[in-house]
Amino acid sequence: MKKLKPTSMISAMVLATTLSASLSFASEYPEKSVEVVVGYSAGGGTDVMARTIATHLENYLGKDAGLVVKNYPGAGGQIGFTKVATADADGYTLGTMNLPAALALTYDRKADYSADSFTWLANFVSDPNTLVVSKESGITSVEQLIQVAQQKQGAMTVGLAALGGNDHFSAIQFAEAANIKLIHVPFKGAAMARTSIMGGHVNMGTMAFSQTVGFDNELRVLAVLSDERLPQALNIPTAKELGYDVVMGAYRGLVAPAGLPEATLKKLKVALDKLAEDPAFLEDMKKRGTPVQYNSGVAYESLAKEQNEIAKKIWQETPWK
Amino acid sequence: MLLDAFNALMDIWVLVAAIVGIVTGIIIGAIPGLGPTMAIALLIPVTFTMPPIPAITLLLGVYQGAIFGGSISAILLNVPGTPSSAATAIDGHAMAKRGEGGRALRIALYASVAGNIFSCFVLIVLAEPLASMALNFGPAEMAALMFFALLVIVLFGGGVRLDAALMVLLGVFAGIVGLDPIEGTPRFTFDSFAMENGLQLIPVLVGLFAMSEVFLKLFERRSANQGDMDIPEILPSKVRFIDMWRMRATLLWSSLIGTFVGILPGIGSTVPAFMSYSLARARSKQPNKFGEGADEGVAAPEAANNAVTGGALIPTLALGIPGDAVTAVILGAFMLQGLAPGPFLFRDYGIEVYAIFEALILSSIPTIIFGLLLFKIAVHVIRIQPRHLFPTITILALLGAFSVNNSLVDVWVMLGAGFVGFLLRRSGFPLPPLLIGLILGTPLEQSVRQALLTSNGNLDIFWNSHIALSIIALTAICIVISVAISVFKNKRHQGSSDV
Repeated sequence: MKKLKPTSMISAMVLATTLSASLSFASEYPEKSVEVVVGYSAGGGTDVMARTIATHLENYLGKDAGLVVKNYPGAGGQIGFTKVATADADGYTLGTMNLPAALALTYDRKADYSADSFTWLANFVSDPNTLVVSKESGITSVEQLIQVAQQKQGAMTVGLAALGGNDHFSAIQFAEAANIKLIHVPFKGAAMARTSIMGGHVNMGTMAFSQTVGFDNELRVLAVLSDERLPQALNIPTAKELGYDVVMGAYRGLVAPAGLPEATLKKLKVALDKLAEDPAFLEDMKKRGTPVQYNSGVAYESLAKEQNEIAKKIWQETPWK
Repeated sequence: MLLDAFNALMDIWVLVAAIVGIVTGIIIGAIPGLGPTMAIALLIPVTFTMPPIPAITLLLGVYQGAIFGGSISAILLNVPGTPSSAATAIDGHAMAKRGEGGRALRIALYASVAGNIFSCFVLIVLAEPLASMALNFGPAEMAALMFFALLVIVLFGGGVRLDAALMVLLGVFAGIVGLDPIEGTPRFTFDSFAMENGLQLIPVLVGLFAMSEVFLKLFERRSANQGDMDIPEILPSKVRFIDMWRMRATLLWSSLIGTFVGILPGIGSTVPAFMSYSLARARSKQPNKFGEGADEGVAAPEAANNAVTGGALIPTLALGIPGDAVTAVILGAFMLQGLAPGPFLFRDYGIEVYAIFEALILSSIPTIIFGLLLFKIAVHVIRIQPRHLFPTITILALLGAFSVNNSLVDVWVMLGAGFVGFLLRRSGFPLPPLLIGLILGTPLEQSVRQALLTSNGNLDIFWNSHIALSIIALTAICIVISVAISVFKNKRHQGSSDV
């Protein structure tokens, strides 16, 4: 083989590296860490999902993409949602999305975003709300819960993660269906509301099912607010079958700011689709009480529109503020 | 659990994090005027993308290193970096003038390690049971406890009480900015969305403690003769184990004081440092040697002021109520890493939490090694010219404030806080109460309003709970004690002037 001159060798190498660098430039979207904005405090259901996704999505986005979960709690998640909606649409800011809570916020106050401010990437979790009390309360059925509420004559308190969230809607709708009065006490995130329910500082809760998982010794779930009983908890009745037609849940997914570049969107979608079939990820999500019900793209966007209508309707009929 | 946690620590990155933290801490701490709080505030953005265990190990390393660094400048130059090392300077500098600077530093180092290890054991023993009690802490109890904390810093934080009270109120007022915690009504946001986040802790912290120092230097008439300060000669010296063992009672008492004062949110490390110094002098057989370079005079305040961290972490982890700026920042780092404090922290993140406890104990080893290696070098940082030092601090402060949320508003908040901090320090107001007011103000408001919501607006909820009632009683007792002490002091003062 003919010996190459050092200079030509070097120039070939330089050429090769610059070429590959410029070729890869357009497609290599995650060049740095991607931030996942969570509008709630650490330890709640949304936060747990974000962290589970973050750990597993790194395998599919390329090794430069460390996913960093950042919590911006407060104002019922509004701070976090606005952060995502107003971030640069470059794919380096993603956010967790909570339906219907995030869109409900756009009705009860001035918000700097709407359903059109987001690229709807994928929904991962459908998590029905529950009627839940502390084990020590001695309440064992929905019937008894209603009795206690009637005895208290409007002094029954319900601990909420925030106003305008799915747990709040559940409380409004359940109070209406059972014809009782509830006092809403908002906390800073679901974990703090849960601790207060366990400690008996508020009488009941309407938190999502996943948030009760792992607290079997402290909490008693009286009913789930879903259409059918949950496969992971077949012994718990639905409120519907007990005669209270309340169906409410949390849909938790991943969004990006609207107007994501086509290449970036494609890369993210491919990664997310792969993630949704990763057995380790699915197992992890199941372990945390939130089995994955994946739908992405158009299907997710229409779910968002549907939830938007529900929130609008509740706001018109029973404004919560 | 303890073993799993230990295994989690056996990672090269944890070791690297600990060493980087300790060395940076020693260097920053040795620079007069720069203390542990500022070192942590400047380094926290570095930890954002790190996993929880190395991130918090690094921050704790910085803290421990900075405290030791503070005693370097206190002992050798009589320029305490923080008020808490002022007690160390009394006897430490006296020793240094005799050429025993090396000996004083070794005593300080060993004593601080002893205090640290002691408080860690207390932390390990107490934190989990206290966390399981956290279920009994509802809104009313939390409100009472936070009110107690705010009052305690006013009464016992040292300095003029009126000044401290004003600073606490200013801090609480600064916490009002943003969305209200119950209904989300914007307050003092001037329709700017960025302000709805409120004034974030880290930009304010960096501004108050780092940037204000820059402003202070900037407006100083003539820079003090810092560059040509004389470092007393350091004669070769040795501290044997038996020397430390002789002081075991002093070390134990000082660590006890540090730990338990640390548990009370808000007081900080200055008070326990002076308290244990006085106690050591009172217990000593030769009290007249204090002030002229007594070993105990160095050991007592150092043990106490290091024991504070372990103590302060107890309410931070169990209830989510940080005791001082350092634990507030560590709490922020915990939340950032997904570790929510409270009754289930130990169950859900037991390995992480115990790993951090063990890291706190084990980092004593590199602290000793690097402390001994570095003190002769670190002392030369004193020669760094202000014109080199302060631009560096400014850049780090700007970078740190920006990187928390990548928000330019935070940079303005930091600069604003820096200027306010400068004005306040120039007029002699203490800053720590301001910070505690800011940290506890919003949660206090939220708890009070939650309590009143659950009780239907009835104030009885604050008396009907045993815990809340005990805390309120404790608050009342503290007020009485504090008033009694000052009346007693006044009387004695008048009595002596009559004679």
